[in-house]
Amino acid sequence: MISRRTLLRGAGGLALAMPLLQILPGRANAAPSFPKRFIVVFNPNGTLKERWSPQGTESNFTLPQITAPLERHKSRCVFFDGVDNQVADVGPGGPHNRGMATVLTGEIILEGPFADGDGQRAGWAGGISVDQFIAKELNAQTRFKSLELGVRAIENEPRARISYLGPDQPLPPENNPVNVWQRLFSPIDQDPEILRKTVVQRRSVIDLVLGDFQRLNRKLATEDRQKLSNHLDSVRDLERRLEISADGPMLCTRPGRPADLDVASEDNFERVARQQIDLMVLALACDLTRVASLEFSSAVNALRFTFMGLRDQDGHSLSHAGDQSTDLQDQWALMLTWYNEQVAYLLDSLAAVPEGEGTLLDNTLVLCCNELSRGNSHAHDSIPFILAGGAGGALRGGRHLVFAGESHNNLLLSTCHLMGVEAERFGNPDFNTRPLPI
Amino acid sequence: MGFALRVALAAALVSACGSTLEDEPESSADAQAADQTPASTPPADASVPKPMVRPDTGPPSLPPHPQSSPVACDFQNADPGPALIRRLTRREYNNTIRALLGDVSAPANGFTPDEEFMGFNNQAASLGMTPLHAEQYMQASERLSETAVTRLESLLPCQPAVVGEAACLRAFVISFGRRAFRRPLLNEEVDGLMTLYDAALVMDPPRFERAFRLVIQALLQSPNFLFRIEVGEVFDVINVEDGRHEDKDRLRLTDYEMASRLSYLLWQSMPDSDLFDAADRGELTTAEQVKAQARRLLADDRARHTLLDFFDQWLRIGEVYTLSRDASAYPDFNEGLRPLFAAESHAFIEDLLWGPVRNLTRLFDADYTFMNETIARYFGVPGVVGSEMRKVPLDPTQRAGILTHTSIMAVTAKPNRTSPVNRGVYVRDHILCTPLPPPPPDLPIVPPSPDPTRSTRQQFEEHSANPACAGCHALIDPIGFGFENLDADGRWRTTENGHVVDASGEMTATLDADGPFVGAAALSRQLANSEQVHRCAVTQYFRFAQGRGETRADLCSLDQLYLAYEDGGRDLVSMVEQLTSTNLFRFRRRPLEGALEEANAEAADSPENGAQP
Repeated sequence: MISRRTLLRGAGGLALAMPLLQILPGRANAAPSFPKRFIVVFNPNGTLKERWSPQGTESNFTLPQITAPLERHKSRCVFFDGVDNQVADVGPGGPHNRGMATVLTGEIILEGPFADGDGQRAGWAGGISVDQFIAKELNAQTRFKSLELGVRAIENEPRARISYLGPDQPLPPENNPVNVWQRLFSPIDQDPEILRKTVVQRRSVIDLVLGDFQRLNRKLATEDRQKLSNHLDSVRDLERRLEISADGPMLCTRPGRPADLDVASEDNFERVARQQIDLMVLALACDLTRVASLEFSSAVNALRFTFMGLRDQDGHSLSHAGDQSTDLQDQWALMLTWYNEQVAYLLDSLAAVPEGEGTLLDNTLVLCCNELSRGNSHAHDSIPFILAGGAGGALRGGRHLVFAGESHNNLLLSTCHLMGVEAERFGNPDFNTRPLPI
Repeated sequence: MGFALRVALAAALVSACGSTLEDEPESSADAQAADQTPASTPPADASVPKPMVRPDTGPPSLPPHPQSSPVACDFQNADPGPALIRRLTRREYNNTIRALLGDVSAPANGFTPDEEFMGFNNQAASLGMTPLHAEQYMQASERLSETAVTRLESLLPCQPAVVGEAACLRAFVISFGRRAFRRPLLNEEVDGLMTLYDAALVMDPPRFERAFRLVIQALLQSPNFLFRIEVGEVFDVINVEDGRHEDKDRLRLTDYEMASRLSYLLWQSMPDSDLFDAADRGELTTAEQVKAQARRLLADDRARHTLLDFFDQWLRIGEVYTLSRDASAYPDFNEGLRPLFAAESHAFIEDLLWGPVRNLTRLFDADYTFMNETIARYFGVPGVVGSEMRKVPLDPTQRAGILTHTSIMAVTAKPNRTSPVNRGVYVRDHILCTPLPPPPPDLPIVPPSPDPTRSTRQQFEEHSANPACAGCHALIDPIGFGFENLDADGRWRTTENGHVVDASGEMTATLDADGPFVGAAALSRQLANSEQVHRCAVTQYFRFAQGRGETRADLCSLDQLYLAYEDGGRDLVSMVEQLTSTNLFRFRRRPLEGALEEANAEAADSPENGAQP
């Protein structure tokens, strides 16, 4: 376990003003039981399974190059082979768009206005994503239902969105850690007196805004009403959060502001990633939310890892390298390995937060995913899924599970069950036959 | 280029790439909606052929050159299309706040930048609303109300001490609310906002200021402020057979809706007091009234900024501020050059829109550009003194028009090299409006890594020689190679990596711009005379203006716009003015029955109930 101070300094991450214990007054070890948390980590454009898949038996295996960074957390991880994103093989749009729209929703991609390589028009996803479903079902009384974080996940297209509130309702991630920090640790929340007054004022304003929706809906045609319903839901969510804030100030005091970085710059990719991971762990530790996602870039990105000296080619181009192009695949493998180094850093950080006899990692379930299994074939079979963490004792790690062409909807359903969320089905039922035995 | 030709062309391009295309790029929902309104669909639509779908990879077969539109259009009955509800863009939000409150803090700069779609950031399809947005709007409204209260006197229409606090607040709600919602408030809306005065009684004093802030917060978080909503109203038409009768297919925008449509089209901001007054008097109803206002708005600097924004987005000039450039490959590049790259193009475009020669043919073939001393020194052009941008002649053998500007050369390059592929794709996407499909999914091919011993052209030619790539790249690379004399920073070069630059190229698979050429200047002159290119320019403006992609139902309106563009001598400003008297601009498609009855009942209620100051 790394020290808390190290966690907050981060290995290259943000130097927070005070150690975690100071921003968690009276919090450590006090609660009789700790809630379950759920995290999604996404990285794009497939992987190289021959350098990813564990070698050995189910419980006695070694990790090759790409998964090697997870060696120190091997006993907390389950690696999957043979879990396919089958629902991504139907519907309009190219394989990246289809993979993105389905990887967390399990629903067939909608048709929409986005011209794509197959001559068809991709739309947004056709259903709620598993992170949002879990957040909804947990219905935790936290200030944020969920937290969507991105690292250079900038394009406003299906290929750059993983999280959905419902069909046709993508949730954009916040790519700037300073904005995340401002959201999470508003100064208002620090002073009970200011907080109480703010809640009263906001309530009175939001009541009026809700009245505007009622009047508007009387005037609008059905198709237009739909357009406003997302806004209405969002305002209702604000109202819900006011109720929670009204219960009192937050557990944590305000940490220092992360360093301002140009978040669009390739050179800053790693530093921004560390800042976002640090903030995500803080948000979970302070119980500001119980569900979070981290999206690394987007499918078909034009992102080079210049911070590692990889200047010639971007990740998407490298993912296309043919199997004979060993030098290019070597570069691609370096990028893929880097992503798992960040996952390992996330797990380090979660494991550094004490909760009762255990740690935050024991109470968290992390799902790592990708919209493809392989870039140069755009295959959706055997997606490099990883589950990590303890899920409050529900997940037993240290295993490599090999299935024979299992639909990933089954994995998403099992993910719900691991989180204690009861569900009969997840995603499109034609692709959901059973929960995956994990 | 009419619809049929466009479809055929797209099919030809795609068949050359060995892929298939089933329809033109429009959403099926739009196509269905168009089918449900037969009276307003161009009559020749039924005869539009299905696009050719050819699995073979032979050379593209080209449709005949269009001399005139193949679709006989009745402009009087053109389908105006739907009136999509549009959330304010970040730019519109900032401009609106400045006009409404005199607040120049540009709060939307901190909002989630999630707006770009199809090359434009104002498209209804991508302006979503999530809890994150709602939170950002709430916080912005709170900050703005804090600032506003410090300038209370300038915003109030009365003195609370003189007329009484409640009366003065009510007067403020009515006058400010009308500007925030861009229409008079209903009495029930005024009464609702006045409950904040009661609520403020139990909050921190002073009560009036507290209520004033809450009113601003409530207005700025309302969907009536954040969205542009065009319900429309029924209206009568007169024709020979039926006499006077209600229009069954269309609704006319109300005068207040028209005031906003004009101001956001031309200023990206809320209506000014003249527009509000005209709406109050019911003087935004006829085509002439609307056009007269458009003329007035176009004469304002805000229209210049809006049209520049259109060009920035259409031609991607705005990307000079964010592009990456490797110092190892381009040691002369520095951050200070970014605004200069944009400034050259902006001065050039401004001159084409508002200067003595307003003809977009020159956008592509002008033998001049604009420079100040700093830019001139960068290019080694002597005799330009001072920071003022001024007209400078170009060597017509090297450059012509915007496509040879540094801005375009820079945004179409990679961080470490020029990219003939990017430049060819740019011309197809942005200038010809016939985007090619992305590469097929299973190509294990990577673009060449930079090789300092060979020219860019040699490296890319080798790459594209692969049979799996050749079909599509034959449509892309020969265009891009034509730019090879211009490096990624827009400077002229005759050799590269020790090789003489070969800038010979060829345009293929266009309707009327095909042929071989040598160099970007010759290519640009070839494009300048193409109808396809100018049809494309009009189509790009349509997307920007309407906040949506064109559909089958818009073909007649597009033809109408193109005719206005040609009749005005390719003067874009004049075409924009003409646009405001078309069906497309004045009306909206009538929604399906059911929803409409309620809309009518409400519309009949509202004018009489409008709160008067």
